[in-house]
Amino acid sequence: MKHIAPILIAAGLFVLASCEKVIEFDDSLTSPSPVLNAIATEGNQLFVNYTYSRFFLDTNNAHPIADVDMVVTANGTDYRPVSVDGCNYFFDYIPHEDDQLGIRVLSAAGEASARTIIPRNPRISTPNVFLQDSVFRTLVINFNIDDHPDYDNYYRFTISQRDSGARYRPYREVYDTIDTTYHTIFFCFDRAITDPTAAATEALGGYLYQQLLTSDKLIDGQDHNTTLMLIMLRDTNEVGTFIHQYSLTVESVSPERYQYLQDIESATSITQLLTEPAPVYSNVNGALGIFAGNARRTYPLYTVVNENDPVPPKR
Amino acid sequence: MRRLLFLLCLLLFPLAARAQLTVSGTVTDQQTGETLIGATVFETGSGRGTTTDVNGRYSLTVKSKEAILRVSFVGYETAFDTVKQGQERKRNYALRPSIRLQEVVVTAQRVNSRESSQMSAIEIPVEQIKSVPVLFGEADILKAIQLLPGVQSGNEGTGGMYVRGGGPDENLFLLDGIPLYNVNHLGGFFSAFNADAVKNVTLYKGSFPARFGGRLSSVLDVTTNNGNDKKVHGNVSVGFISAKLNVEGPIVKEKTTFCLSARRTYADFMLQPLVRKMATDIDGKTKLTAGYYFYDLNGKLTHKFSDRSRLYAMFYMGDDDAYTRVRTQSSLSEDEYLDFRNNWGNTVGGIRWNYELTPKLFMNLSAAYTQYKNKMVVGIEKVTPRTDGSEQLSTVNGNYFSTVKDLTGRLDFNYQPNPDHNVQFGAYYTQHWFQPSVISGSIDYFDSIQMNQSWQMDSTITEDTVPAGEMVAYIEDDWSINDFIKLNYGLHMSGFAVGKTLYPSVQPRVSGRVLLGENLSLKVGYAYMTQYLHLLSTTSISMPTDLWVPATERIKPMTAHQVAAGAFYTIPMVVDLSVEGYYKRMSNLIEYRDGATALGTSAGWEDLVCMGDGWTYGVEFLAQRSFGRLTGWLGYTWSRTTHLFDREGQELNGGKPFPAKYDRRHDISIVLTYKFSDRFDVSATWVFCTGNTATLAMQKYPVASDNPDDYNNSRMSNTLSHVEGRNNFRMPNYHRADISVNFHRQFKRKNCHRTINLSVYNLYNQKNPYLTYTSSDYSYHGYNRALVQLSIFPILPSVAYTLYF
Repeated sequence: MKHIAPILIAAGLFVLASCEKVIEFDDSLTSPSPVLNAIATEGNQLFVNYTYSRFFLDTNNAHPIADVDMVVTANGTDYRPVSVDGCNYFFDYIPHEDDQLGIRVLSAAGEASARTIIPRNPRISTPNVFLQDSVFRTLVINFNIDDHPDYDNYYRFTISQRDSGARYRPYREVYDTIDTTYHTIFFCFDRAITDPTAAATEALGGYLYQQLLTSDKLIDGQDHNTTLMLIMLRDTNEVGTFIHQYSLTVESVSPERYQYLQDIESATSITQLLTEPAPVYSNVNGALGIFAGNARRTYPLYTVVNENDPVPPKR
Repeated sequence: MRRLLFLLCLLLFPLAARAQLTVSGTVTDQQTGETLIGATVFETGSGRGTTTDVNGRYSLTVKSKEAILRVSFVGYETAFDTVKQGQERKRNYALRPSIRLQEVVVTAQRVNSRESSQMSAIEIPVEQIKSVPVLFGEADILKAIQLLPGVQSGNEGTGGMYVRGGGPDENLFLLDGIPLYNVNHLGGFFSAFNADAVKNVTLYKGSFPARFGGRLSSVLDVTTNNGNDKKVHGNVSVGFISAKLNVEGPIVKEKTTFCLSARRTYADFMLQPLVRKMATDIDGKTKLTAGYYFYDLNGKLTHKFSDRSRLYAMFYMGDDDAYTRVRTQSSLSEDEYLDFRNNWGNTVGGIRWNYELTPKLFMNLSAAYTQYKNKMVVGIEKVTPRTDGSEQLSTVNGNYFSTVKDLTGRLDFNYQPNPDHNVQFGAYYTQHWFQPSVISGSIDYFDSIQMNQSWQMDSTITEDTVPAGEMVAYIEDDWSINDFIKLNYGLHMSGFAVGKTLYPSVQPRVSGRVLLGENLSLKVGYAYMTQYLHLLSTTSISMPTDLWVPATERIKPMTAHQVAAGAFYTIPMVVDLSVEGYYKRMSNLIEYRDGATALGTSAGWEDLVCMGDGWTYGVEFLAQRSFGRLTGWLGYTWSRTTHLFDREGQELNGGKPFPAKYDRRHDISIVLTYKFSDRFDVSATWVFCTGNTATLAMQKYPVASDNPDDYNNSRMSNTLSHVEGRNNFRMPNYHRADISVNFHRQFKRKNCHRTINLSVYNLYNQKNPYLTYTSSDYSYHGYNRALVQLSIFPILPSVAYTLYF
């Protein structure tokens, strides 16, 4: 009985040592597809990424497509790329609200085309966005968003968090869309990065973000006082309290991008491990990817130390 | 509907034909008094006969004043009896087990393959099940069933059954006539049926008799032992992972018997030293207690009031239990305990009164209860020192519970008016209760570091229990039209009421046989089946979180039409050959929508699934040898199963057909047993099947971004998978050989012997795929990553010792 543990470990190692094997398969069943990606963001120079998809075992950089003839049409005016960097094609065009965009590409990979609009910026008339700091940190957002007369409005809320120190604590979350005026986001403590190099790398990245997708079908264009309850158990680490910096980014996204983001959310969620891989939405004819408009505003978040304090601090 | 009833009455009209001599009774084992199911009673003159039912009863009416009856059963000596008109018509036969055991037939056999009108049904004697070499030497009914043509296994080592293109939820498992919802232990590696408690196993794959219903693809009818009515005996078995005890005997001799079987695994005891060492290796301070076990408890009580009246009471309990307790100590001298416990299993109970109303008419009145439950408990306890030196206990608890319960009342009749007809009819009502999930949580937390305050929370989220009623009436007749043609026809009528919705269903069933000469018969059959229950499963293996849900107003019941035809040929004393072809069309199948899954809760499950259709066809070949020292069978199946989800808003795979997950082109199984002597026999199996299908995204592409720099790296996390088609990839083929050797020894003490079983699973250590993933630890054709398969069962020897007393 005394030696049973080593015997069991040896038996376990024997089993594990023989359990993996590379699968030989016919990779000629698949061929690369052209991919066209462009997020036309209001106020930013437009660029388009046009490339081939890669074999799933391929870890090299993108594969460029030859003989590309690309034209972007904005409100009836044609634009051609002014510079190319790798697979990124830059245009001398800055999108504006309500612009009607189209793209047409002819290349060695075939023909591709798509259309989208630049949505209106979110208009948060009363940007009272603050955190109530208690055992649970409660985010309160008072806002009003204009309803667009011509198309559906879709919004993405991104909460970013940055720690001031070298130690960086990421969180992952499980969430869904707003369906009532009271919504709970569960933030689950995931891991603490203790490796200094990795911590520095993450810190340089600056932000980890949590996202919330919703549409004006859920937020009907009226005044709202939506409370997001962030279940973030306070750090009880012995090194003391971190000074967190939070910001809220509200984006208007085009209907195409809304569908695309929802598919990505589904494809990358934790439950994806248990589901069949599913195709991600594309609005590009003749290629994978997305051609979509976008507009955004970012607001800092302030922390209210006293959870009973009814008055948020002024900006 | 009226036309169908009229046709039925017309067909039943010949029952009025007047007979002259009726004999009825039971056929039992002479040594144990155990009733024999499927024993044949034939009149030698006309060649007409009947078989005993699940209670061992028979009734035979002949058109002569004197008859010579031949009573036979596999493994028993044949008995002959002469019956004359005016003599006592109650005839009970006790058959003596054959003493030439080495020549006894012990192999899978189609139900009276050549003679019977029934097709697509196979009966496996329990002795054969026990001799088939299996994982860890644990005799397993479902693993033996998987070796039959038309039945495919799920993942490596698991008991998932895929019958003629159907999913694992389309099989009806009956234990003494009572449905079992979860027939697996440990994710399907072991089945819930303890072979020691089982007397008879019959699998129906198609041409279902009208008395069965509720599932699309198969019925596995398992009957347990009644118990020896002569003396107490039993067996004790100790194997690689479990110990078993089976005791049976009379309480009142030849009146009241009992049978009790128990099984429990002990891996949790055996692995405890390893678990403790693993915990110690973490940081020296962590203490870990973890384990897993399952148990089964089968019991049956039989009382014989008279030759005409018997009462049966049975119960089954089977639970799986996985538990973990971790104790850690932080640098702040806080003790933390993390507890996790998951307990799931079935509880089944039933009572049945079998009564002979007349020699031609038997009745069964029964009531049954079945429940499947899954309970999960997570608890955290933390002991925190206060500033005043005292200790504060914080607790966080979470509970999850789900269950499905059935209560059934049932009345069945068996009427044998003359040798040409055997009529079965009856009705039953089942009340279902589905409680998908009850989630509760409580927090009593003290935070000493930052808040120095405590707070509490206690809440329960309960999904409403969904009641549903299922009512069934059926009638079937096995009609010998003449010496060559036999017909089994019937109707299964059911209704399912859930909420304000009622789903009625009339399901005709028919199968026929034509004898072409002495050794050849042809059969055809048709069955329409309806299934009112769906299983929400998150993985391809059986998980305790899998949930049964009823059909609803939006999600319709599944239906299937199946036709089959076959030829059966016997080379006397050599081999039985059969070939069957089938085509099955299925409607209202459900699959998860792209990217959706329901994990442990059925909330909003109707939004997560879509409905579609499917079809499957195939050919099954079976060659079986039932005589001599060498027995066994060779089975081969060629099949194709396709799904199509193209209804508006419910498209999968772009609305195009795709192969089902369990679509396999070839399936071969060879099962051989050679009995060298009464003391030594060897069994071996070899299986081969085409690999499972899987969805493999073979291309990837970058996630769209408004930052150009995001495209200039190759991080896998920034790419999306391009899925070119559902189930577009086929895993490597699966094949495996197993062998087992049995050494029997008779002790000097009378009626006491032992068997030592040595078995080897995966004899040539074939690396069969269990799951696949990409790994950077390997390279493939110039890429620095590879698609890798994980195999979980290499060559595995095991030993088991069984003492019979």
